[in-house]
Amino acid sequence: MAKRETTKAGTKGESRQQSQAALTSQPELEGKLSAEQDAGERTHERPVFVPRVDIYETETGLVVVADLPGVSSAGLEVTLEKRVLLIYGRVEENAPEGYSQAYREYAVGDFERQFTLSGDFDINGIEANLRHGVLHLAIPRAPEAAAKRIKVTSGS
Amino acid sequence: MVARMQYRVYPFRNIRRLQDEVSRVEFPAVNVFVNQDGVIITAELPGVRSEDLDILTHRDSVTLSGERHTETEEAQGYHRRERGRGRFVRTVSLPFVVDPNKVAADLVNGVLTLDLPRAEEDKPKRINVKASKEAGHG
Repeated sequence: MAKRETTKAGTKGESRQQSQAALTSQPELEGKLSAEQDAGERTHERPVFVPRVDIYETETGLVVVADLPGVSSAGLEVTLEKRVLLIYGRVEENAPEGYSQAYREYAVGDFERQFTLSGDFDINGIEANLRHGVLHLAIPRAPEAAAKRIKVTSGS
Repeated sequence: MVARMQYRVYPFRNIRRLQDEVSRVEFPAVNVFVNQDGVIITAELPGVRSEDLDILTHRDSVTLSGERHTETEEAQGYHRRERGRGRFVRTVSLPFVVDPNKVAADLVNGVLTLDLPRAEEDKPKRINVKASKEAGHG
């Protein structure tokens, strides 16, 4: 049962893995990176960007730091499902009224990025905090699962 | 110790630095909005606290400077390190002189909104033309 689930996730994740492969290459150093859209349809038409992240190991787990300028805690969604960590931040357009745009260097849009975590993590112990447009996610590693020996009974 | 750790994480640091210099886009990126009464500049400054940000206006230019801190003591090794860090300075020229006393800056969720009203003495003045009676061809 469990085995079937993982294979299903594996085939489903193939196209996802391709876009992840594109993500693993180091992005350019400055400027915003537009996210590669998968087949999923969006309800509103606006650009989606890949947030820049730092991911590092600590003694207790993993820390993900993501630049999400313009995202408030109400517009942020972080999910962890089957080791896939998804960060989605909605950004409200804030063009001032009564003004015309004279110069544009960046576009306003949402942020989305996902990672596949290796190893087991303690989902309930995740600490998330969003400050100054930067998300800090501390993901503690799960305490090592006690090894379980399965007794095999022979049917003779 | 720190330097050695960075070197281990980034063996191609010098190449990256060269790339950085070649394909440099100024930080922060700005959007500029204009009407006849002033300019509004918005900039994405994730992770910059208001106390780390310095805004200077001089006549018809505004300079943003500050620092992005991403260093942390608890990191034992990086999987990804993409976020920008270090000091930044950016000067934007404006189409007119601003009134430095009326400038308002607002930093919310890492997005700066800078309201720069046009100086009163710099605004165009409408000159009323008086029709002189003597000059009339009536």
